Amino acid sequence: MSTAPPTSRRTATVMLVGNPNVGKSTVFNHLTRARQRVVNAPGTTVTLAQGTWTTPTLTATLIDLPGTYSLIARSPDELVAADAVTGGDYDLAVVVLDATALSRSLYLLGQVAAAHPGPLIAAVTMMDLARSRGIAPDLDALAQALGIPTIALNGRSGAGADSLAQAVTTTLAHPTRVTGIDPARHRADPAHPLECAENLFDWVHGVLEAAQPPVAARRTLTDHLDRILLTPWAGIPVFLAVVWGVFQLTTSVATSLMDAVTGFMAGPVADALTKVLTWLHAPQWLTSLSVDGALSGVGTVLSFVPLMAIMFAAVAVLEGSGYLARVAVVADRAMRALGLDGRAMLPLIVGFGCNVPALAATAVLPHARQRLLTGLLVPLTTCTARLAIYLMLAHTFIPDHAGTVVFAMYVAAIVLVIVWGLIARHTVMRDITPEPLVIALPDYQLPHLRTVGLGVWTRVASFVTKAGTVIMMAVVALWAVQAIPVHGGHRLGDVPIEDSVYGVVSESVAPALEPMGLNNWRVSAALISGVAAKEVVIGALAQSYALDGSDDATLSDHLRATITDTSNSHPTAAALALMVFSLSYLPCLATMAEQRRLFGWRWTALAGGAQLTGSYLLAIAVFQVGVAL
Amino acid sequence: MTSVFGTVMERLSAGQSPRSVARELGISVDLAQAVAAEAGRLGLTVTADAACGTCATPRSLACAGCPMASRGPASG
Repeated sequence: MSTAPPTSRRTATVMLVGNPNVGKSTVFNHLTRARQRVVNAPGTTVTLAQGTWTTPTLTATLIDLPGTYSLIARSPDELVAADAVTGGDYDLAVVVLDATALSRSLYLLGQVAAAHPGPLIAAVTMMDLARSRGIAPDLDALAQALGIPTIALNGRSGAGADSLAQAVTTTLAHPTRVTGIDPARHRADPAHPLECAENLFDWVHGVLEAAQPPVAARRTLTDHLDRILLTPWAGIPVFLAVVWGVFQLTTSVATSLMDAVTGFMAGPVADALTKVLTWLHAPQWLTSLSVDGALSGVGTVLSFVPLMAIMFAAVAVLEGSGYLARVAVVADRAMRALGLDGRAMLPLIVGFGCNVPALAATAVLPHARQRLLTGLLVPLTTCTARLAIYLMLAHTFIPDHAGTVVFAMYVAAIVLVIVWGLIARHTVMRDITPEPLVIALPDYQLPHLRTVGLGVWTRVASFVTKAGTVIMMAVVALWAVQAIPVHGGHRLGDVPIEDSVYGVVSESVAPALEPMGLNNWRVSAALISGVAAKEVVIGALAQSYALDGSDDATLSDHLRATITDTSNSHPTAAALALMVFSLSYLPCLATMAEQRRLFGWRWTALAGGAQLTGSYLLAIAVFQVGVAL
Repeated sequence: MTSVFGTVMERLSAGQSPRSVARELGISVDLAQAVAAEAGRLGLTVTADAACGTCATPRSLACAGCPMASRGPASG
């Protein structure tokens, strides 16, 4: 370090430290002009800007550190900044403070002052913006509270650069310490990080009280609402009512649209495809595969698009308003009351969209055992793919209360998560200690129409894309196994479905479904297909009926007739049993593969076996109780 | 005396947003947000979208219907 007197020209290494987007680099560019270069931080790929700052009294090597909010680093960039500050290989640090977000800036300043005993200068940017918002600090008061030179700086115009240069020269000659910062109390201590943060924020609060206009305490209507809605006794019933309303709206509005899409796919589209294939002299097997197989299966799934769009729009409005994030808080408390870890709520909520990313989301949990328990519970959350099964069955068997039935399936999924969670916690997971979840919630706001529209479009597009790829492939694969004869002396590709591999395997499994009133090979075949992907279940059912006959009955008509027959005229009970079984009988292959990757075969097999057994017994109970009633 | 950090954390734990905590305590929103952010670095809090970013591809079905994907699949 240099020790020349202030009156002579001297050299020094000066670090520019600050939060991201505080205007630090603008200041750097203004001070160094073209005299700068980019270098790699030692041992990293993170780049640093380094330049020469020349003033009448000083020639400084100026280093622009990556922006960070804290010296507790979360990224390689932040680590470089933290290492540079704590390493102390500099003569002076200029901490750039954002006048519009002074607390965060001051917190970093406090950390820097506690980490390194060298001289500091505060350079305050964004003063114009802060003034326009009425939150500009009093710079004299700020300088007095900090006890170090404090300069207002405009990086764009360069106003304040001369004062900064003078302050740097003076401070190098007569170093001053930040008032109120004691390295013993404020320096980041890995053993007591919380205590250090508490002390530093108390210091920040004191500086703000001295230098910033006071903020009046007040409560808005939103605050009052939150105080009620975030309590379990009010929050859970309100949430359930909201979800019920969404499903009611969805199922009542979408019915006619679904019928229209189904009619369009089965009528004009199927006719046109048949005519094209006939004109091309396509063989019978290809027409069968295309019209009765692929189009029938995919078309049925596509008929859910209007319904999905309405539901996605409702969900987008709820999440855009900030309400859905509050559900995690309410659910967290309910879960903790049952002894489950609060943080598990985030992946479990993601699971209601799709189980695969939800498993990856278990990474938010800090301990391996917590991740394991949550990962085993995730497949019980009912993903969007299973929604199509509920909707079809509810519309077919309980059309007047379809929304309520679908809603009940979601409630059932939550109950299953809680019950299985409690069983696991009191058996194989006794060692887990619940930890609280604190979510930094967004404020309530009016949803933006464009955001809602974009969210609906992208979600529907991804649903249709999957219908057009995974389901198409599965349907083609199913058609292939339906074309291979097992008995009856049929030729390949010209097989009554019950004599095919598909039919024979399904027939052999179907009796196991007898206790739940579903002893039918089509149902068992659809459930087996659903292990590949739950979206395939409805497509497989539609395909099996389409291949079997040429009448004009819809899938609903066929299903109603089949299940009425298998259930001895208790179709509603059997349909409910089928929904409950579909909810949790086995995860899809992608989910199981992800579980195996994260937790190994043993846990995946154990969880799958437990789910299959549990859902089987539950479905039987639902049917038997339904029949008894 | 309770620290400002402790007071803000207590209210965040009660489900209040940083903005709401600031309004109620008469402190700047920035201070409440700074406490929440630093608590996140210390592993004490998460943000509502903490579970996002786990989707296999930005446009996969993974994000369809995901209650956390506030900007749809693009955020996933």
